[in-house]
Amino acid sequence: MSLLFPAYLIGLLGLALPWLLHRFSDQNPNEQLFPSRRFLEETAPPVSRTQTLKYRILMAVRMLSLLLLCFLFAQPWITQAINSIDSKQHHIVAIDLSLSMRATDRWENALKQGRELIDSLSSDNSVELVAFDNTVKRVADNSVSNADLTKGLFALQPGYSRADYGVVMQRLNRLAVDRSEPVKLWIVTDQQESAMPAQSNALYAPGVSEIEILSTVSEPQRNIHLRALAESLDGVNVRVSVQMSSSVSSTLTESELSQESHTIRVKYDERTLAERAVRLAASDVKVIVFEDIVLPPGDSSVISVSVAETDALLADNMVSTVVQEANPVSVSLVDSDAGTSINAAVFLSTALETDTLASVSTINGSAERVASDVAHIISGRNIHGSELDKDVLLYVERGNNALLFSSVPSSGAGASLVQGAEVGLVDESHPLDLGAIDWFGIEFYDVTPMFLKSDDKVLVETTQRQPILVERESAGGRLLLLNDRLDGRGSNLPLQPAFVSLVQSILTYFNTSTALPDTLLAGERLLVPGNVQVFDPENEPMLEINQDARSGGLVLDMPGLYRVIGVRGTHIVNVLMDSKEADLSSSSDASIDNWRSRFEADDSVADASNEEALVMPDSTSRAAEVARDTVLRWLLPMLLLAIFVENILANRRLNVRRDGS
Amino acid sequence: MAAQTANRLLKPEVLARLGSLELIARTVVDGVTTGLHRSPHFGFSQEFAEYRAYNEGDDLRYVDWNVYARTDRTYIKRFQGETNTSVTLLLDTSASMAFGESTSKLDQALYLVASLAYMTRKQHDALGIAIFDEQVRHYIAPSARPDSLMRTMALLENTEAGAGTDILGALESLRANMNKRGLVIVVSDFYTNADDLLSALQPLAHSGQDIALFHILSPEETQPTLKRISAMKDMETGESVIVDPEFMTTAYRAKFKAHCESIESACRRVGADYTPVSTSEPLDAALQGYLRFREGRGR
Repeated sequence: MSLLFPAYLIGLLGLALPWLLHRFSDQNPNEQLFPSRRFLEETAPPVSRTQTLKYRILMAVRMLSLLLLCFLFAQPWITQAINSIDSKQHHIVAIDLSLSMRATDRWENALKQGRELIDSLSSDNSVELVAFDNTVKRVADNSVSNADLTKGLFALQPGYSRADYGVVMQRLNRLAVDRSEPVKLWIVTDQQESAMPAQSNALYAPGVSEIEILSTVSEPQRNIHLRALAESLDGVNVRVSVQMSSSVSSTLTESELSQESHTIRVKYDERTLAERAVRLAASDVKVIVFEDIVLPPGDSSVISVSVAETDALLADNMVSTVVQEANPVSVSLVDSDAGTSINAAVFLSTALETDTLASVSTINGSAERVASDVAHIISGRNIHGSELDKDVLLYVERGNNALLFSSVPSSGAGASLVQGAEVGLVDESHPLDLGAIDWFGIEFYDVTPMFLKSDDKVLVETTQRQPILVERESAGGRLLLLNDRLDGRGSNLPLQPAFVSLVQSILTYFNTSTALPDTLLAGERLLVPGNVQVFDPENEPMLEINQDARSGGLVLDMPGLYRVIGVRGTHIVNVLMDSKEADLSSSSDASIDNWRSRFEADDSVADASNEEALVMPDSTSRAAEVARDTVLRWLLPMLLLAIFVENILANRRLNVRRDGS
Repeated sequence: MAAQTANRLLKPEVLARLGSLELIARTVVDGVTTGLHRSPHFGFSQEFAEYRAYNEGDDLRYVDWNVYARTDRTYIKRFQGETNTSVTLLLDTSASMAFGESTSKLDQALYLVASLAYMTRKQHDALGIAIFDEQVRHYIAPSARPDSLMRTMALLENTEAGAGTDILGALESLRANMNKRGLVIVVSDFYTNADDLLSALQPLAHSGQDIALFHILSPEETQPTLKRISAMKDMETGESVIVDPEFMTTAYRAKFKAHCESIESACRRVGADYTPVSTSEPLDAALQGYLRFREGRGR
């Protein structure tokens, strides 16, 4: 018998509690105060013997309850070897398709082992071929012919995603529990250390009776993994940071673990901009910075970084990155309404220029005077009516963004208020990330009612349901309405730190045209908005403009630069290879043994049959059946029964006390 | 109706709710004296004080027939009394007096002593009090001064149960101060030997003191019931005795009853009045018995 959570057995220490209770309680007679002992006579205690007998039974039941409770938490399961010479087995052959399988000859080994496995399995047994990385895909089975399995096997190709043995075992367990016959699992993998789950319990699959893990690593392997970040203040001079990490399989010798020289090249459009030789020891990480790289003129802002020497995994020897421009965003404060508070410009400028996020220019007049390279304006307007000023609407329709705040003079009604309305509901699902802003302490003393259109989205409102921040639907850019004069009198919003966070969130929201991420890991999903086109790194369209991504978005399983093109322009999503997956370190033998041991049958005969099965799978004469569910099915009723008996005995004891008998 | 109301008020649990001992004493005494067959107010003085409406049981000798002739209503003439005796109250505050669940023996004793003190002063007798446990803790010599009642009440208000009991020692030490004939009232649970008590009371009786003993008893002590074998801890000595429930319902009760009878017998031998007072019963019966006792002694 094995335990899924043996740590819970520490609860068995609690068995001492009933013993202590029964040892030290009710042994002495009840003490009562009495005026005088003058007329009392000592009596020998005669009843303790019979009471102790009853209490012992009660104590035993209580200890049994605790014992059962501990075992219920520990979840015991029993693997029972059964004689099944004539019984059939279902074999699941799982092939690892993760990125690390691309290293040197790992994939070839996997195909070879898979082929041999399929050939050697008896035709009497049903065989199912699955492939996995961080998910499990059914590939083929031999329900029709064994040729389907071979064909399916050779159609497989390793991908770029990361493997997770824990997730895989849980998915394979689901496949196994559907089968009536014993299931033997064959995993063909490189036994990568990074694929092991954090908790080994995740490897538990009660539906599987046997497991064999076949390694595809045949020789010592070493890999260099690169990650790069390119930044520029002016779009010309670029600073490139490269993180190099070296990993080795555990089979490398001491001498092979010594430092090796690598050449790192920074390229732009096939032109080498910089090159540096770096010595890196095995299992070491180093960051190399290339300062003042001048970006040649060109349309692209993509820089590639590569390592010149070949290693075990070629796929991650070159990485591309988009130059991130650190230029502050240009924002215009448009002063066109005489009613706008003078303080508003001060508060807004201060908030926008914090952390040099934006460069602010002030212009008088309408939005038509805003320079063409300025995509964002902030202006005080009458936002309370049914229609907004036309110059702003035109500006937004051209794909620009505008934040309008109230310019209507205060009614003075709230001037004498000591306590105003606090912020109530906040739309935390909006890309503005309003839930991350600390709204505590912000009070609105004088809120002018707003006319809301049917498709207006109220993002922030007061506790009295007065709209504060509203997004109005627009065919072009984004249009936000802030129902506050920003003079510090109608509310204390501009005086609070939350105002800086709010303005910067709005600016980020304006600046990121589609609110799409800049980077993703291979295999992750990209949630794409409507009316966009998505092109993969080879410039092949993944999603046409008239198509909608299915629920869950697009899975980007190939590393590289994806272009998302919409009305707001082009956004590049850099899909990277997972550095953990690129770490070729193998799991220790102890980890693999621990994994296998969870599926070993209890008796020695079964062990012997396992040895035999390694050589000749179809000769497996014994099957293991997991009886965990049976154990659990009995534990709970037994616990309930013990508690029931304990209640009866305890109540009976109380009644005995009441009677004085 | 008035008598019924007074009786209801006399129950110990009701008295416990009253604010002060003085108020309790007034409630008890007024409730008791109204309705007696003969008024306790003898009126030895000839100095007229006031009229009072006639109550059933009042002595017809004190009805002012002149007033009756004029008004057709019966009034009692009340006279300013003169001190003609001294009353010394002896209260046992030993630890055993703290026994009792709803009303402790000490509480009941305090109500009784306060009522007796009030009654004493109402009759303009000299009032003295001694509080003792193992020794005399407080002593106020008998005095007819108007503040004697107040001093007594103040002392009683601050009285708590003390240590063990030495009623013989207390009476011995007080005997020297009791050179004037009068009334000595002992309120105690009398956890003492009857012979010892007799030897302590005899000198007082011989010196001409009238003696009245109020034996404060609790139902839990006279008729105890136990649910299981228990260790009974002596409240005065702290010693524990493991006792069988059956013993408490049979042998103990017989022993305790014999003890009470021996105390009563000792009282009879010295001509002392013995009144058992239960903590579960109103005080009116005890006080009426006391008044009859005084009437019989002509005091």
